[in-house]
Amino acid sequence: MNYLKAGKISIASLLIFIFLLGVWFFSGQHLIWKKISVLPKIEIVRAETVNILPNSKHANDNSPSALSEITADDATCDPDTKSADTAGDGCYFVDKNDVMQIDTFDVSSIPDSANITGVVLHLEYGAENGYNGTNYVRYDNGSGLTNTTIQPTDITGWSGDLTYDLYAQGVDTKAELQNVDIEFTNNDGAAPDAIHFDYVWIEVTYTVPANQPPTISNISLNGGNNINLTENTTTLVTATGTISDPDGYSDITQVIGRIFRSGVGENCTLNDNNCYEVSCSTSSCFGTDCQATCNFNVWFHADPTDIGSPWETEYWVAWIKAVDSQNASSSATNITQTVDLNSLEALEVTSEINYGTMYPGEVIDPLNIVSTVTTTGNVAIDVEISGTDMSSDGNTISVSQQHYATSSVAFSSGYALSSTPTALELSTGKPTSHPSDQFQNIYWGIQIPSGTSMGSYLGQITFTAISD
Amino acid sequence: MSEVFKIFVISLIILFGCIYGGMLLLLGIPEVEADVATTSVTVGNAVPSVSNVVLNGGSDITLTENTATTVECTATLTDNNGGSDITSANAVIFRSGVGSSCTADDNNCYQVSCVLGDVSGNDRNATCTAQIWFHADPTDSGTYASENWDCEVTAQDSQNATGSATTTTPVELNTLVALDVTPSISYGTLAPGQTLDCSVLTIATTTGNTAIDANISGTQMCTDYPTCAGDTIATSSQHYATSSVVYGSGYALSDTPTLLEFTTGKPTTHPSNQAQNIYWGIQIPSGQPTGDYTGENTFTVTQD
Repeated sequence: MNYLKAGKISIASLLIFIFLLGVWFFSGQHLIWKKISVLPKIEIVRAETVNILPNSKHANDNSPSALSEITADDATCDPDTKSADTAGDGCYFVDKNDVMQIDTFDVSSIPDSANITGVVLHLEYGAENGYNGTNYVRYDNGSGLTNTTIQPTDITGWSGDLTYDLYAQGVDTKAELQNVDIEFTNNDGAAPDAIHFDYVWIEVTYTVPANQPPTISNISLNGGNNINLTENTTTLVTATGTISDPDGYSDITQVIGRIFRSGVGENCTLNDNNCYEVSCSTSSCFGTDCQATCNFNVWFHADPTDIGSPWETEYWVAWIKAVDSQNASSSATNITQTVDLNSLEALEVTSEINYGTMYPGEVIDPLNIVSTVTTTGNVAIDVEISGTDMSSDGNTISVSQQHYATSSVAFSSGYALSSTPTALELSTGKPTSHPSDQFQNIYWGIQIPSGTSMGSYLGQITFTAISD
Repeated sequence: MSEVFKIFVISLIILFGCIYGGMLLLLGIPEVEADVATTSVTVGNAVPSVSNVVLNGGSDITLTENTATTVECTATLTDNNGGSDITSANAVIFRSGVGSSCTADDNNCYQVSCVLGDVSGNDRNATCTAQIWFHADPTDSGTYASENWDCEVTAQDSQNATGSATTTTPVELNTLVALDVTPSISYGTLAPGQTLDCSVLTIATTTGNTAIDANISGTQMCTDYPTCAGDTIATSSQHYATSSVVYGSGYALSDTPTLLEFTTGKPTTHPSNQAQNIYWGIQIPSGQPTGDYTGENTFTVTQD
């Protein structure tokens, strides 16, 4: 205090401190002190090996053999003597000065997320007797044709499986695997002696990372605003969120949304009073993210949580769950929001109270004209009733000539209608279903004063919902 | 109160107002809905009713000879749609024997419109005035002695609905015995000793509602009537009869009323259709001084 008095610590400094303390508190940073956890993580992967086959020739390829002759270890020809192409013998014929050039390989069996760890070219060839060419089998990974270590020579019979490590040469992506060219040009210098290939394929070894579950963030219910319902029908309430899947947004297969009164929890049984569930739509998808929109048609009798309601200590929560192609899922709620569902005091009444034809001096006794007050909001109500004189061509029947009650009592025992709103206690409660299951019959009667002129008299009665 | 304090108080009010408004916005205002029902009733037309029907103030009716007498029938008309809904009323004043559905006839059935009074609630008075002729049927005696006169009033409303009622206390229509006679009997110019047979006509007209006879009497004629201090002609010098007969066959006039039987009956129309001719003659005594002689003959009516 002496410092304060001395002005060494100013009031301004104190206010700045309080301000910074508030910023820190409302930022939620203090929450990290509540619970600190470190989650151990391990990723278990499995290596896969697959042979990918040629699926198109390059324009330079002028072998008369079909591509199918080179896709399996199935040669039936004698490579030492074969000097012309024979269809269907499993031998790919490359005569002198001809070119075999495979343009693309079929990589459809390799997952997009595959982590490629080995790429080996496999081939088997045979040479027609007398072949004396010198060219190597070459590859092109986008940098031009480059020799492998495989150099066909005039061997006897088939070469057996020959390999060349393309991975070591930088062929290590799915795209490169698809587009790598394998080429051989027959440069035989003597008689026209051919090279025959039994097969050419690439053995690929890869690993696939474990599936990553989607995550949900930025969940918002009704834009963070309290919910106002509409009497006797549904109101569209929207929950939104951002769905993220590290495996790409296309891995998101299903989004489910729920809104519920906090007291019943996210595992609630579906109930139009407190627990709604819908399938959500996704939009604005890009990369790993999609925006999810969950539209709920909330009925008028959904439980209120505002001040004064039976559930005033609760609120409404939005919960969104995302599921991916591997059925991995996660869910989240709008934890940063507190959204109340407001009370709705509403009613509907029979639109017409028709006393029929009566004569001056006549009275409906006991009260027997029934109008029904139906509660169409989400709270129990009473009503205030008021009315107008009934009139016809300038003649009137005083409003007080109409009597009403909640049962069919004698006319004189009913309440006289007044132009001043008058409360009437109803015995109904909060609706729990639709159409509303809460309604109250009100019985009406009228006494036609002697001297009332003939005519069709019309009036109006207003029923205003009030708190029970 | 200092200006500073005023500003402080106003600021405090504004602050709390903002806080309250903010709380309402933040916590939500419960929505309240109202609904409206239309009420309808058709008020039907009430049939008008009639009460307190009184004829001639409840008194027996006395007519006036040879003319019509004003007779009123009053009633209270009631319509539960309000007295103003009554638009007209009419009445039938009738001898009970012919009933209220009678055909209009000045002897026994008068149909008149009524004048409506001011509206008083559901009520409206009606005054129905009839001119009852002298020959209307009497009910105090005679042929219709067992009957009486009634009045039935019918009220009609704006919807042409009607209601009616009849007098609860009927009245009698009294017998009227009356006549009119020719006011002058002129014998002309006669000489002393001259006799005039019964040929000078007078007419006795029945002007009441019953058949009559008459008692006839007279005075002497004189030149200075009614003093008669000078020359006179005796009463009995005048003779009369109900037909034109010779002087000697007529009845001699007397100063004592003498009944003369008429052959007429009850009048049924107006002017009266019942008239009795009486013929007069005179004998001038011989030696009667000259002069203009005047006398007075009296016809006293009596019921037949």
